Amino acid sequence: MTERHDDLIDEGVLRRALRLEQHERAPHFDAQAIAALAARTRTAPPVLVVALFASTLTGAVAIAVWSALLGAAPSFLDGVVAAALDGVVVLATLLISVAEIASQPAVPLSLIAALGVAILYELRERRERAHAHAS
Amino acid sequence: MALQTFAAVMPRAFARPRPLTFADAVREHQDELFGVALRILGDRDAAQDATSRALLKAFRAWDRYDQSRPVRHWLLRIVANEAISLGRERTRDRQRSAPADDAVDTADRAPLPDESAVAREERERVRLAVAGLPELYRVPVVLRYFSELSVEEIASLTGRPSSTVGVQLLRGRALLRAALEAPR
Repeated sequence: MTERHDDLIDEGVLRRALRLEQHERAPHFDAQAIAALAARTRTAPPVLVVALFASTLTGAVAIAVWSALLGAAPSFLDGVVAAALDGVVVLATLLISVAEIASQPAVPLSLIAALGVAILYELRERRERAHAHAS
Repeated sequence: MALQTFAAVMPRAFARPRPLTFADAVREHQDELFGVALRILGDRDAAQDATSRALLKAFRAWDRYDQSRPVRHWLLRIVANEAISLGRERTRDRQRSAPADDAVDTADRAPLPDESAVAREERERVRLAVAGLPELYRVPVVLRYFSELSVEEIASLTGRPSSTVGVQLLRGRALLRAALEAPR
């Protein structure tokens, strides 16, 4: 307590100031009106029953929907997975045939390569001969 | 004759006292409850609102109220709490809407022709200073100097230790003194 006594407002001054003035007198608070208001604003038992019933019903509906979803999910997912597998099989069949052609061609790849090299060599020879003839 | 008087008096002497009804409590304490709310809030309409809310709460809790304890303290606690929460609501609303709408504008200013204007103005200044105190000091100050509760009673009513209430009263008085000495 660091306040010095002369730093404090006088208690008498405070009491006199806080006293209710004549014009500040309390309005009349009617106990019966308060009781009536309390009865009016209290949650009535029928409302509670209805609220309880509504929440129970909502819960039951939610459980039913969830159960139906869980029940339908396996068959639905089966269909989706089967369709996806069919697609994968078709794609795999295509890819396998392409891979087979690439690995076992009817004309050996070495022969095609040799033919290419020979064509390139012949073209080069002809170009050189043409240059020589022109000069 | 004496026997008749004795017979008439005895049942009343040994009869159990009539339990206090809610209506009795309202009738007996409404002025003080309203006064506490008014001094905490500094506004008549708000005080009326806080008192009504407090009495409504008291009515609803009346069955649970322990009649062996003073009803005055119980009601004062309820009204002080209601005034505090209403004051907080009003502060929040004020901060959200209008900037300068403080207790100076809301306090009652009805003229009192039979009183000295100077004294009246002085009391008004003190009341405004009280209304402007932080809630922490305002509530004990009002309960001490308006309701004349002891420090221990305020401590039990507000749930604070007596030593804390004592310090808050001193601090509140110091703040009031400083507020009143500050240039207007």
